[in-house]
Amino acid sequence: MAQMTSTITTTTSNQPLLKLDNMSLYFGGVRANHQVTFSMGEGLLYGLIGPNGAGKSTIFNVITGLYTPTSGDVFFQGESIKGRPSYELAKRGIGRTFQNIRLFKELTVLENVMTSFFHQTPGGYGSALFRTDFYSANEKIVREKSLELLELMGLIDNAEEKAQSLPYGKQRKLEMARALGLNPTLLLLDEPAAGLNPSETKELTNLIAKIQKTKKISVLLIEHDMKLVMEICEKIFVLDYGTLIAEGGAAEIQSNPRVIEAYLGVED
Amino acid sequence: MQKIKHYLNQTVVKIFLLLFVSFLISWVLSGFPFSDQALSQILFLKPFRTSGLLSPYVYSILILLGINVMLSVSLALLNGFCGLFTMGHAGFMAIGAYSSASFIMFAIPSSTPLLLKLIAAVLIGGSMSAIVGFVIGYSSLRLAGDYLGMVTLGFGEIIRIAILNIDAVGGARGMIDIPQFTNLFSVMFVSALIVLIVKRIRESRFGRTMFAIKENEIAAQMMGINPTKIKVQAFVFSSFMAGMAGALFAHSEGYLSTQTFTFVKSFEIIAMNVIGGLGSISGAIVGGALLTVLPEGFRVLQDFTGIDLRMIIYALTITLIMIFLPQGLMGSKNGNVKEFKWLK
Repeated sequence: MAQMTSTITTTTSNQPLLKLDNMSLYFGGVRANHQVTFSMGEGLLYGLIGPNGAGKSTIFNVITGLYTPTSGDVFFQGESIKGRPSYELAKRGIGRTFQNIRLFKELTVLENVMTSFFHQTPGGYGSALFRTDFYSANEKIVREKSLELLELMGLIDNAEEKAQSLPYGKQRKLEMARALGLNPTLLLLDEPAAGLNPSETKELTNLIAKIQKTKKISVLLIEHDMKLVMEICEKIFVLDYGTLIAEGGAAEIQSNPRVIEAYLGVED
Repeated sequence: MQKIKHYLNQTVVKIFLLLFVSFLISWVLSGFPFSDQALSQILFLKPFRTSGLLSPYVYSILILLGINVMLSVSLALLNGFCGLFTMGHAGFMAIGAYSSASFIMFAIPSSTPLLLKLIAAVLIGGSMSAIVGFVIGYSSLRLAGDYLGMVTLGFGEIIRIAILNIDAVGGARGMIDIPQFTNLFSVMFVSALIVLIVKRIRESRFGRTMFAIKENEIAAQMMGINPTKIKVQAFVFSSFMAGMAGALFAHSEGYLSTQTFTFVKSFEIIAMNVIGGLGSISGAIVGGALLTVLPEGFRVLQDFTGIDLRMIIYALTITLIMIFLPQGLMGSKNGNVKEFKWLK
């Protein structure tokens, strides 16, 4: 496994896609993240695990710019993104889903995906008001691309339904489709399998692996379903009480005494 | 056939169509006049209140209806699309009304053709209002929800009281002798134009974005959308259209008083939106029409009953609508009005 990590750093460009450098985040006296340091290469699937309250979602919120770290720094494609607004990071190619689903409920499924193409579409209000050929052509492209994504996620039959009328599992998939619309280089998935039954989880696992391979993007996923994580993640980070306690491949993590301690505790 | 359809979809063609239809309707309602004088009254915007199929009273209600529809639809952009609960819309209307009235009275010679005057009035009213809308929008959008409502309510009152203290526009006495050139034709055309603008925004990526911001601002940010920018844009558009409505209002009555633009007027515009259904354009139109006609339409009852029942009926209707159709008449939950689907 150690060998594998070294090949990662040599095969990808010399700077990591994402790097957290001694990143700490405190809410008053609460230590959400403490001196977390890790880096991610391009085109790989990473897992972020840890017991409840370990600070996994806070890391996502830091990477996507919702929180500004108290100290330390975050680098994306070699550039510091500390304190940058979320929408700018999304434009640069960080897509994410949410633990508690945040869809645009009143919009249709198709419209939900189409919103993610907003900043990629040229033309201002003028072209929209006069409905120029330029505008219609762009709108058509966005529509087709969105439909492609829906096809990929298996939501094509629900395209014209309102997002809120979808069953839970499909809502999770729609969130992923929407994040993919950004054309991200880094995709953050916050508990994609939460609330899904075993067969749905299996299907989703394959889907995530497939998307990651075909679109050649880096994925970082938070998940409590260890089977899913161990099966598809090439590298796993383990958090406990806001600090990074282990990183490595699946086998390495499973035998790591500190990880076992964090999850199961130790005998006195 | 395909080609004809393509041309009908062209915006310029559509606008001419709207012009023609507005003219046709005002022509019919004024009793099919054929004399040059009558036709020029419709086209060149001289208010005519004596001839035609309509009594002057009904005619003035129709004009008020058109203006209220404009206000209601323009507010739908903020309240319904972006979820910005603003309570100062009457302020934007006041700016439009006063700025266009003073421009027409003091800045240009009175011999200017009426058509030019009308275009100038609508554009000046709209632009002045849009500038103020930009300032208010930009400075208050750090706030959300009820707080934004409070601040915009305050701004609306500030505008009104500021105007009240300008002697040049009449101060507390009100502004009198404003040239009247708003007629049914112009009101109908401008309100149709506003509906077209808002509908196009709704159907474009900007409309989708506005709804996204209303539904979930954090998720919208994660889609690469800058919410503040979109909200300020919505503010500018909305206040521009409210200013146009105000300008037409100023030149229909010929008299302006700040008492018209109190927060009661703002609430009335919100009520039009809520009763029609928040976020739906057809709802804003129906709400605007209903809240204009209801308090007026029952005036005739007074002849039979001897007492003024109209305000009771007005209040009762609104209460009943809110009890039985909490989503509003055209709200998204009661999508039973298929005939209006194209209007969104």
